[in-house]
Amino acid sequence: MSSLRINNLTLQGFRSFGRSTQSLPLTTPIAVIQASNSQGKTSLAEAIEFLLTGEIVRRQLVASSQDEFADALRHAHLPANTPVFVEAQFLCNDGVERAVRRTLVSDYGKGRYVDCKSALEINRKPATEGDLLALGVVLSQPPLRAPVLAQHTLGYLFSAKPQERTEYFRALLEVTDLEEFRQTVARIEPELKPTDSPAWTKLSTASDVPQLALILRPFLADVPASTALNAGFDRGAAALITAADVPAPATAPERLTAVADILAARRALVFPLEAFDRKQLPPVTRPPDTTWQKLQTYLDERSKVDNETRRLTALFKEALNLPAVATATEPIDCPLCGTPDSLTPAQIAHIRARVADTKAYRRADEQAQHALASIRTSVQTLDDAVEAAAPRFLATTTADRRSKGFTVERIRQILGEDSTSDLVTPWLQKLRPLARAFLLARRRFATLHATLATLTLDTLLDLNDLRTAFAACIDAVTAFLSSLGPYDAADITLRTSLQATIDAASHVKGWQDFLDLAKDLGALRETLIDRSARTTISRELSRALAAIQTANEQVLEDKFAVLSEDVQTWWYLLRPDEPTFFAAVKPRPGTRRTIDFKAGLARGDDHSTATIRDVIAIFSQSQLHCLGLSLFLARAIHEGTKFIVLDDPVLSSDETYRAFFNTAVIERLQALGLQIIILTQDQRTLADLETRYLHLGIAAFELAIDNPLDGTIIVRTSDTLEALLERARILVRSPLRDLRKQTGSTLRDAGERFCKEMLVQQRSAAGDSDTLITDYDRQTLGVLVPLVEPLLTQDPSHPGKLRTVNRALNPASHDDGAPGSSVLKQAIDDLRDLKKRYLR
Amino acid sequence: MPESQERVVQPKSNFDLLLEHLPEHSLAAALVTAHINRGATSSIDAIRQVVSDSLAALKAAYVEPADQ
Repeated sequence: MSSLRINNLTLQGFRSFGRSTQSLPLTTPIAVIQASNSQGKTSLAEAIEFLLTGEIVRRQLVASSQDEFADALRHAHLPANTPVFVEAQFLCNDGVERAVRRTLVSDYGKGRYVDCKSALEINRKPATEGDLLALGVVLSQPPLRAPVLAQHTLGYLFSAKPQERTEYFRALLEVTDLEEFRQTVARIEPELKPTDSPAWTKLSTASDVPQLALILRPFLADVPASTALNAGFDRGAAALITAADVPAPATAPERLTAVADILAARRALVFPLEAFDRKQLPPVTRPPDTTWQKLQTYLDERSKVDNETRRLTALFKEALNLPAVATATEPIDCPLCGTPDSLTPAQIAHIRARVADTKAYRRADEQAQHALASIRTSVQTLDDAVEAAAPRFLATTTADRRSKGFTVERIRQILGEDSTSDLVTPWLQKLRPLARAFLLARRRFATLHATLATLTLDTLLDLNDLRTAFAACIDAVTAFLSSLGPYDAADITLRTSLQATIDAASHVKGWQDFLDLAKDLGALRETLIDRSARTTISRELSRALAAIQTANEQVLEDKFAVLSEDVQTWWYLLRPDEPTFFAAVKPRPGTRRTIDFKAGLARGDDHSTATIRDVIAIFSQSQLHCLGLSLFLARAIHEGTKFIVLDDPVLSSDETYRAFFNTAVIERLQALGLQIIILTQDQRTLADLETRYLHLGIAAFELAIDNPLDGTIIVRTSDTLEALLERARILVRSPLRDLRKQTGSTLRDAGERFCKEMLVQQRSAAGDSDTLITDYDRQTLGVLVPLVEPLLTQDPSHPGKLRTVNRALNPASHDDGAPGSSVLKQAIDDLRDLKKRYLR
Repeated sequence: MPESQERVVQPKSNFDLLLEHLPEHSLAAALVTAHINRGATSSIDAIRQVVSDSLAALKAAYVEPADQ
């Protein structure tokens, strides 16, 4: 798997780059681009920044007014229809090369918010920043997002406000995700807090009953075993009974019943609370339609048979069943009147036919009897249910209620006048419609009962009257049911208050709760288990939250320590063995978003006892420069950047610092596998790096502006032989003798360079890693050619070609000689061919 | 030169670092682990599951032979 790198950069019309498309091949691990001031060095660094981010951060960091950057990206002399773009060939992690191109759509305008617009493409298809990141490009937090260090960004690093430094190091120091996690855990906390469930509240209240306190309070603290719970409640019941001076029954259920009786009796002394009791109204069931159909069928069949026949049918059936009648073949005595031989077989047959005619009627009669009974049952059931569903006080007479002390005045008296508006009045408002609905239903049921009481099938004439009366009852029940809901809410509120007051007055507060709990001790134990588990887990979660909070802070401290270490690593590479050194990156005490850079002032070699100060007050400009570079490199490495662009990372005035940069820092970056692109105005840096890293592969370029319209031109200088051949190719066109002479001289240099590179290559292949071009300084072509000829083994003509080149160029070294153009051109072609065939 | 110069930077996630500061087998560590391994589940649901499991374990301790 490859590591992301830039293989080539092409740009046109961007800042100092003009109409001619410029290309920067970057196939080597290190590239050095040298340029004098104002030749396009920073433009090139910003071109890479623009490619990656679609902007240049200098506008934000440097411009006093952002208007100053209006139209700053497009080259000033670029023809109107010439596009401005920066394109890079990225060799991606998957080994595939992809073209990433950003084209300027509109430049910066005047005004703070008029940003530039650009279009990003990958392999000629529109792309987003997300697509770019997917290739492996690393972009950091704003404002310095691209791995490009320029003078303005370097200055920002150490001069930014301490609060703003947080942003730069956010990716390194960020613990927001940990804080969000802690908050998420904290959101669970309230869900686990044990709530005061009704059972818990009842147990608490019952535990306050003096006779029960010692028995029940332990249950509030620890979940009891089921046997202990059962035993505790039984002992509690016994204690209450004993306190009431009543003999305790023999069994536990009887003891609970006795407690309930004592409670009711005590309450009744204050108020007949049971008068509020009522049962739930079961679902209203009506007789099915078939019931009514049976009655209707009866009426229909009855109309088909005359009254006399109906009356005598039973008598005839009995007579026909007599054996003498059933088997008669001759006239027989009439079994009803006794007249001799008066009943002939023909008469018997006639009677049998008449009885048969009433068969359907008789079947309808039988079913109608059942239907009528069913209706009576339904009516009674409904009536009973309505009566039971009404509060008991509604189903009794006023006199009866008064005799038991159930009056509104008494309720007011118990609750106090203040409670009237809150409790009694709303209750009365809901009671009135309920009472009206109840009385209406009772009246209608009474009417229907009266009708049914006298109704027989014989007296049933019209079914509609009966159905109408039944439907009226159902309507009344429905109205009653709909008024029950609102009443119940007011009833519960009133009764709860009333019961609490009555219980307090009766000295039985908590007794009802005790009895309620005793009905289902299994459920109570489940409640206690749930509460206990929730209490435990809630405490554990609180401890976990505290531990997470502490750990979060420790993680942040760790991260600061790691960052300090990383920055210090680069610092010591740049400035080893100095008594004043970079000591740490620290959060300002009491803040989370303010970062201080600390310097150490050592007395000697031991840095551990150094005095610590803020760097801004202590460091020289050179030291601040180093700090900025160290901060940049620490962040870039930490974030996994695969390539970095360093625009004048070395102060040209700082010789020592430059030496350490060229050695330790570059070697370290190389070891980490980073692609390094260095821009410098310093010729010595270029020369130093070119010599030092020739063995690793280093490409050197020069930037220059010859023509303002063309803008910055990129010239490769590291391939000396190619540069010499290219220069000779241009000069050879001239008809002037002096220039041809100069062409010859250049070509001689090229020939010497070819020979030297051949010899170095041969020695390197033989294992001599220390060989250098400079080993052959001052050796002429005449000396070198015989050494190289034996190495040109690919074709027998090649040694001759090199010898011919040497001879052809001989006149150029004399004052009066100048080779002809054709000779020079042939020499150029021959040298190019040999270079191509033999030099890697 | 400090030894750290030779350190190969292998950044750990914040949650890996957090775990290093929490007692092993603690509820806090279990919550962080659940968050790390939550997959497609939301963080709060992963945390709820851990708490819910702990709650169930606590309740299970009260189960009596007759209940089983």
